[in-house]
Amino acid sequence: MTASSTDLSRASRDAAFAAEALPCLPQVARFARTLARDPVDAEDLVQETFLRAYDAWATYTPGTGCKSWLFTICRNIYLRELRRGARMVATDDPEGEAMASAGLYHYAAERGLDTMFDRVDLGPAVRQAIAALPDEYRDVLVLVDVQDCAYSDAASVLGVPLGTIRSRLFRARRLLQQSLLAFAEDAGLVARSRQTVGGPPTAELEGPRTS
Amino acid sequence: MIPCIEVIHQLWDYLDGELSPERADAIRNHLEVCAGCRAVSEYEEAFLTTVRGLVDDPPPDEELRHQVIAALERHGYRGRPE
Repeated sequence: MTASSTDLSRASRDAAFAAEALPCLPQVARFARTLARDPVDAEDLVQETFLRAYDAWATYTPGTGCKSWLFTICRNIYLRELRRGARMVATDDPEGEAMASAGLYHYAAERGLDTMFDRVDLGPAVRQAIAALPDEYRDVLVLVDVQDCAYSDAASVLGVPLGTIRSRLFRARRLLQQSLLAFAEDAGLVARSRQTVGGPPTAELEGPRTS
Repeated sequence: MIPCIEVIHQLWDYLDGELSPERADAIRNHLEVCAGCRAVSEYEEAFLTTVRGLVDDPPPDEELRHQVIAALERHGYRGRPE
């Protein structure tokens, strides 16, 4: 390869990188903040992500989802730096989680909290509850619910099967809903009952029936 | 009409737009006539709207963008974003 063709190749790569990767910086920064939590660590993570992405640009196929590709790099760097390895949480019952969430609706409705999302600004409580989630659940919830990734994209970013994404996502939502119900009760929106939030939620839902 | 239990099992997938068009239609049809499932669906949808509202986080400041581009330039990057 001649010097001029090398320059041309670099110019082409840089142009493509500027057009596709750099516009994702806000989303990557937001994702990094949810991973690293510490703002300075998050900024370092963003910078490292874009450097790695730049080096590996030849492995990216233009137009195939740059945001997800960058999220994958970002998360891999984060995991490597934390040396956390591939810790997995075994949850394989997404339907059970969906049922449990529906049970929480009935719990909320009985206490007049079924409209709390419309009545109260729960933003700060939601942020706090998300931050308190175990990493495995927080990561998938942030990808799907905050970053608007499809299940398949989240599976690609996190390197887990689609079924695991569903299980973790639904579990994360249920945990979040339990936290928000507890917050609403603590805030005096209703009198706290003696029943534990999220107690036996599925017991309140009627079994299979046709309508 | 599909049973309520199936609707609840797939409610999150439905609200996330992850179902096939045929399956989504079946659930939508069920929700139109079943007040119980519709109430659950509306609750879950309000919850998702609240969580998704967090996307309004302030964007990273220009300083971070400049830092990233400066690091890239030290790394050989010569392109300029628009």
